[in-house]
Order: sequence, then C-alpha cells, then structure tokens
Amino acid sequence: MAGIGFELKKLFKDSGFFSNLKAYAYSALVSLGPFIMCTIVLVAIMQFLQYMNFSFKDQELFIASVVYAFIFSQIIASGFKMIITRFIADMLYSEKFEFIMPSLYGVLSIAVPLSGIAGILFFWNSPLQTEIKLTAYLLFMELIVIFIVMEYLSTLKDYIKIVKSFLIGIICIVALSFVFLTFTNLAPVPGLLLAMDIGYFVILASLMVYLKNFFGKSSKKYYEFLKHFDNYPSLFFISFFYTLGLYIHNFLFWGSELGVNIGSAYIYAPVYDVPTFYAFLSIMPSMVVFVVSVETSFYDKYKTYYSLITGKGNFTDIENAKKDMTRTLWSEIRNIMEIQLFFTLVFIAAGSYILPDIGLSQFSVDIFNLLTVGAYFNIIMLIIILVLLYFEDRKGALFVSFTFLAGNTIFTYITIKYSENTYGLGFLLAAFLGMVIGIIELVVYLKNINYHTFCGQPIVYKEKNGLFSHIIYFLTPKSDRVSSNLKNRF
Amino acid sequence: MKICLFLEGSYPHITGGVSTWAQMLIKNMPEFEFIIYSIGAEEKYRGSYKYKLPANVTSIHEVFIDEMLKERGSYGKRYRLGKDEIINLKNLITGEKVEWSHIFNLMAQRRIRNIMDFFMSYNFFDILKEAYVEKFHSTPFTEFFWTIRSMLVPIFFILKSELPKADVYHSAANGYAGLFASMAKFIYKKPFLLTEHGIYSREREEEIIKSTWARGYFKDMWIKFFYNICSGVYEFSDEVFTLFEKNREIEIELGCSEQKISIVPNGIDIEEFSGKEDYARKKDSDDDIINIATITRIVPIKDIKTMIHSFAHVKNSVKNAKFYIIGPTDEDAEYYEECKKLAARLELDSLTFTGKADVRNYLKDMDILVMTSISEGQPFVILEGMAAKKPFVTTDVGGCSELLYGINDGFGKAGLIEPVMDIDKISNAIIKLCRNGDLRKEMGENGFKRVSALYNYRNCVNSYKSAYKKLLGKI
Repeated sequence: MAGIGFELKKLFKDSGFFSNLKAYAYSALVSLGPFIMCTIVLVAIMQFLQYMNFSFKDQELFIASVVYAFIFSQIIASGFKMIITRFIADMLYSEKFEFIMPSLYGVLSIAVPLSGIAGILFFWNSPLQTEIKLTAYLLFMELIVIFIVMEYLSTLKDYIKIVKSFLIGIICIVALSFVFLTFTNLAPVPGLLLAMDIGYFVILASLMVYLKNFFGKSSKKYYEFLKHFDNYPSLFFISFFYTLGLYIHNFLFWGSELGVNIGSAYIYAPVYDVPTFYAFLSIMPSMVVFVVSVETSFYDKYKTYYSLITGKGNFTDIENAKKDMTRTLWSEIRNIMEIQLFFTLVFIAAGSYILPDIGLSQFSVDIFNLLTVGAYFNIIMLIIILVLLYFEDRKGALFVSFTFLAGNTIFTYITIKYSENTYGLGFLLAAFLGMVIGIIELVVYLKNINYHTFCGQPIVYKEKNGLFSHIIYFLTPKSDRVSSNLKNRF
Repeated sequence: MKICLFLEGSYPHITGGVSTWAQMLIKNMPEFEFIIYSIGAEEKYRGSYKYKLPANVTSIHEVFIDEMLKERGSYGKRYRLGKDEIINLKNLITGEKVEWSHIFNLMAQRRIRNIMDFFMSYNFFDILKEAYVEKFHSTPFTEFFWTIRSMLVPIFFILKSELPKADVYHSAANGYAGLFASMAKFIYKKPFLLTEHGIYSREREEEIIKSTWARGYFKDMWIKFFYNICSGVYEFSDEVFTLFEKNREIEIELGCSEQKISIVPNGIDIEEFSGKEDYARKKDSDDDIINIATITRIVPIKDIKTMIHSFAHVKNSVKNAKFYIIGPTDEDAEYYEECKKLAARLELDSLTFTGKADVRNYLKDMDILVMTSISEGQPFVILEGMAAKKPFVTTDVGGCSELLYGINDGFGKAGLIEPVMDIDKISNAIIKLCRNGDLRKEMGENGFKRVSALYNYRNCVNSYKSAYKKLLGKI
C-alpha cells in the first residue's frame, strides 16, 4: 500500500559527533614556548652585544629586525593556527592520521608565499643593507614555518622534545653568534641574524623530522584542511583578531610621538614596547595552571557530560552532569584568577624595583603597571575564549576577540590623544571589557548549554561546500575527483 | 470545477492499486479539472511519471520528503507561540489528543519561515523537554531528541509547502497526504473527501512493530503519532470512502464518525479482461496440464515463499501442474534471489518467473490464480482474474473474502480463502481446485457475475462524480 512513513529513518544519520577540543589549550600553551625562548635568546644576545661593546645603533637595528620578524610572523600565522588545531583534532578523532602531514605542507604552501610577498613588499624599498634584508627576511620566513609547525607539535604533547629542539637551536645561535663576530668579517647585525637563521633552521629541521616520523603515512591530500575554512571560518578570525589585538596598541604607539625610527627601516616605541613585553611575562602561570586544570578536574566533568549525551543518559543525568561541569569550570576559573592575581601583584611589586635597574624610566614603569593589570584581564579573557571554543560557541568567542581588538584600537587611540598619564590604560580597558563580555557570554551560554549542544547540530548533517571546497575540487587530480565529490555529497 | 487530489507514495510515480484507481478516476471524469498533489519519498522520481497524465490534469505539485535534506537552518531563534500552539505541539510528541487547527494556523500564518530554524529554536527545545519530562523521562534523551526530530520534521515540511487552491480537496490516503488535505480544507474552507484504500494507521503500526530502526521504548510513540494524524484527518474530512466493509469497521473503531463513511469499491473495465474470448478454457481430461499462477510484485509482503512452499506441496500430488509467478522482480532483488533459491531447493522445476509481463497474455491460459499476501487492500488482480473467470485461492487479508465470498450477494464463492502463511491449507485448497474442473468453472462464473455486478469501474466513477457534486453543492 501507499505510504512513505518509513523511508524517513534512512534520512537521519548519526546523532552527530563530539570531538576532543582540548587541543586549543595545548596550542596556547605551546605557543608560549617560543615566546619564552625568543625572549631568552634576545636577552642573551643583548647582554652579549653590550659585553662586546657594539654600537647602540647596531643593537637597536638587530633587536628591531628580530622583533619585527617575530611579531608579524605571529600575526600572519595566527589566522591559520586555530583552524589547523581544529583540523588536527578532528583528524585525530576520526583516526585519519594520514591527512595530518599533507595538511602541514598544504598550509605552508599557502602561508609561505603569502608572508613571502608581505616580507618582500616590506623590505623592497627599505634602505637597509642587502645582507640585513636577506637575513632578516629569512628569519621572518622561518618563524612563520615554526609557528605553524608548533601547532602540529602541540597535539603530540611531547613538550620535552620541543624544549630539546629549542635548546639545541639556541645553543647554536649563541655559539654561532660568538664565532661569526669574533672569527669572521661579517658585520655584527647580519652576522647575528645569520646565526639566528641557522639556529632556527636547526630547530625547524629537528621538529619536522620528529613530526614526519610520527605521522609517517601521507594521503597526499594537501588541501583537505581548507574545508575547515568553510566549516569554521570564525576560527580564523577569532585567532587573528586576538593576536592582532595583542599588538595593535604597540602599532598605535609606533605612530605616536613615542615612535623611534631605526635606520629608516623600522619604527618602534621602546618606551611603550619594552614594558609591554615584561608585562606579558607575568601571565605565564595562568596558562600553565589552565592547561593543568583542563587536563584534570574540568575535563573529567566535561567528558561525563558529553558522554551522557552521546550515550544513553536521561535528561536528569544530563542536567546533573551539566551542573557539575559548570560548577567545576567556574571554580577552576576562579582558582586561576586568584593564582594569577598573586603573580600579577608580585610582578608589579618586583617591577618597580627591578625595571629601573635594567634601564626603564619611571614613565615606562608606570606603563608597565597598567599593562600588567591589562595582561591579567587579557589572559582571563583568552581562557574564556578557549572555554567557549570547547563548547563550540565560536560566535561568542569571535565576539569577545573582536571586542578586544576594536576596544584596544579605540581606547589606545583615545589615550594617545588624551594624556601621557593614561598610556597603557587603553589596553587595560579593552582587555577588561573583553573579559567581562566573555564572562557574561559564558554564563549565558552555559545556562543554555543543553539547548546549544542539541539544537546547534544541524537537523541533517552536511559539510558546508563553500569557496574553499570548490578550490580543493580543482586542486584534486581528476582521477580522485569522483570519490571526493561523492564524499561531499554524503 | 477544480479538484485537488492528494496522493502519497503512489500516483503518478509508482505503480500499484492506488495509482491504477487514480488514473481511472481522472481519465473518466473529463468534466472536472484535477490538480495533483503528490508526496513522494525520493526526489529522484520528480517528473518521472509511470502514467500518461490525462488532459484534465491541469497542474501537478510534487513534494519529496528527501528534499528536506537540502534545507538548512540556523539555530538560536525564538518564536512567539500561543499557549494552544505549545500544548498541541507537545501533545504531538506525547501522543495526547491534538487539535490540528492550532497547528494548521501556525503553519498557515507563515510565522515559521524555515522549519529547520523552528526545529532548532529555543521554543521547540523547551516543548521537547517538557514532553520528555512528562512522558519519557527514563529514555535516553539524545535518542529521544533525534527521534522527535525525524518524526516531526517531515510533516511540518509538508504542511509548510504551498496549499493549492481548489473547490474540493480529495485525498487518496490518510497520513501525510490526508493531513495536508485537512489543512487545505481548514484554511480555504472547502469540502474534503478522504478515500482510504488501506487503513493508514494500522499499516504504519504493523511496520513500526516489525521495524528494527525504532527502539522498543519509542515504538509506542511513533504509533501514537500516526494515530494522532489519522484521527485528525477523520475529523476534518466531510466524507470518507473506503473499499470494503472490514475497513469501514476499523475506521469506526478508530473514531471516524459512522455517518461519514461509505463503501466505494475499486472497479475495473470488465470487457478488457473478458470481452474478446472466453478465457475459461474447458479441461476435460486429467492429463491436461493445469496452469497455476500468481500475479504479483515479488516482495516480502506478498509472501512469495509461502507460495513456493505451497506449490511444492501441490506438485507432489498433482503431477501435471505448472506454476507461474508473473510480475516485476526488480523491486527487491535480494528477496527475488531468495525465492529462486528456495524453488531450486524444493526442486520445483515446473515454476517459471516470467518477470514483468502483460497479464492478459497469460491470463487466458491459466486455470487457478493464487495470492498469499500478508496484507492487501482490495487487489485489482483479483478483480481482473474474476473478470477472466478464474477461480482463486487467497489468504484471508484485506478485502479478499469480500471479493471471493461476497456479503450475502447471492453470487456464490469465487474461490477459496485460507489463513495467512498456512502452507498446508493453502496447498490443499489448490489441490482441491486442481482435481475438480467443475468447481473451477463454477467459481470462475460466480466471480465473473460478482465482478460484473459490483466492481465495474463505472460504478466507482459514478460514486465519486456524485460525491464531488454533492460536496460542491454543500458549500
């Protein structure tokens, strides 16, 4: 007899999937590594330069070359970061290990030319010596690659290996710096930059070898990850806005009267930039505590909650697990806030003693105080963003990171126009605003977490076929097209 | 005069009893304009018609359930829902009585632009949660959630599509088609005639009970859901036509008001099967071969395996018997293979699978027709066989006994009726007919008289004609 009632069931596939999103936290932790390492190298080389009695101009030129390479490679890489993290997490979850290495080459094949062009544009008309241009450019390119490779390493959680690679690289840098400057005729700035190039190359090579050994097989599908741009475009912007937000206030100060021109090639504002740098050292403890607490108490509750949902939990169980998870989450966040508050106060107190000794003016120390408080809010905000991402609230996370970027731009601009006494307050206010909005978003979102978890899933699951999927289609060899096309459809 | 005919899973995309009926009806009423509203399962059938649409079909609307896979929604919306709307949506889940008018209004007002948005909204999640707490609180919530989605999305998907304007709404089935026709009636205040060939809710219930896709604790929910649809449709209909007495009784049991129901059997063009020659060949000698056939699609619901077993029994006692299974084999290829293997195992080499064939070519050479279905409405093959003066052995399903035995109509038996799946009784009945040429002839004649008197398509067409006219006059 006529009737189609039961063809329907076929149409509804699995009840969605749930993946391990802890990766975001590891990624954040791992990116701290190079930050610390770079700092150590810079400080070491600066001491070395002073010891060797190099001109202040050379010192400045060298530092500026390194800092520029570091900042801009980080900003450019940031867009790719979270998407890659998500892609790797998804591939690991679905045990498609052979898609991981190819995606690294795929990302690099996009990121390297992109930053390569940006770098060429920057250095083209610069009046710097060709040797400096080349070595600085090389460093910039290497850093891009390293930042991206770090994302892949963060999934392995083998921090010792990473630290070892960096240590070897740093030893190379220090040793080569000494060799180049004492035994060769290389000018100091290109010599030091070349030492760094070689050292970072060593780091990069050892990391790559490690990765390649780990994810041996390759599917040769280099651009699969681009689909994640279609599915999670917001991840690109969350990460990019946040990272740009970290530096935008510095850029604004470069353009202010605090800006200093170095060799007509770089501008920076040491009075503001140096305190920024020290202020950010204060937030290391939070990142570590966060990763640890995510790994332990919170993750257990989080897992319980989602396994009840993917399993056979009834609503009361789910509701109880939700309450349990929410309670644990807030208590962990409160815990981090307390610990970080302690470190922030210690940094402020210590800063007023130590910073003048290493050459900072009282004006910079005042900025340092405001920025350290700002960094406090900023790190809590970052943690909230990461938590929002755990719960797949990308919209919320995007809103927070955009608020931070926009706030920092506007408030910093106002402080620059307004009064010297308020320098640093722009960043502080923006971070505070971002944090408050983040907390409100998280409270509201967690209140409705059941709704979001269930109704956030499409009624019929479908991969989005956007621009990037079409690009992949054209990049796929013709013989493979049919199958990948079919896969998209189902 | 425009008549909008709603169909589900049949005309014009799929062949079968309902489709034959629909084609006959439309073709024989050139004075009416027909709008076809066809609900199908798979979009691949769009535009591919198994029938030549008669000229009086002025438009055809096709809705396919799998089209909803294309729909996208975004979540996070909130709707303004009235208290009645909330209660009735909830009742649809819990299986309490639903006042469909509230749901029809909700859909007609176009407050819900995208049904996917609605099913992903805060409001719907709250309703679903309430229903869960009330009735299903010990079931796994996630499974509940997905079950509800898959249960409700299709009907809302259909109710959301555009209602065709017509003077009379006529649905060829209860269920989705009937529900949409009810909505049309409610919104446009036009009369609504329901024809139930089979009892939709019962058919769904049987499917659900047997199904493996619905878990035990949700089977009841699905069943109640379909009963809810069907009793709503009974309420909205002005007249209910059904094929035979047994259906009428079930409909009354299901809550359809008795006054609405009339029995309008299927009908065929008798001359087409009997006119040109006398198909009932005379067999005088036992040495002659006796041809036994079944005319059917080879699918499990027809229980071909019981038939093959019965044939094997018959073969043991009637050496001169030959067997034919006439009909398409491609619908369920796996089942067909199983049937062939079974026949081979039983060494039934006198059995032929003809595949799709023109029944009339075979009919004339047949002596006995058999049907072993588990479920039937009022099969056209029986009417056709009766018109060709063939005696039948059938199982006791649907309208078979009414067709073969009649209800005190004085025509006598046109065949033998046996219980479903009872191989012994079925084969004994066949053997009995094999051995008694007079009985075959008598039953063939009885059948012919009954079918000529009661199941002529003209009667059927006339009943619908006057029903349409009556309904039109009413408003």
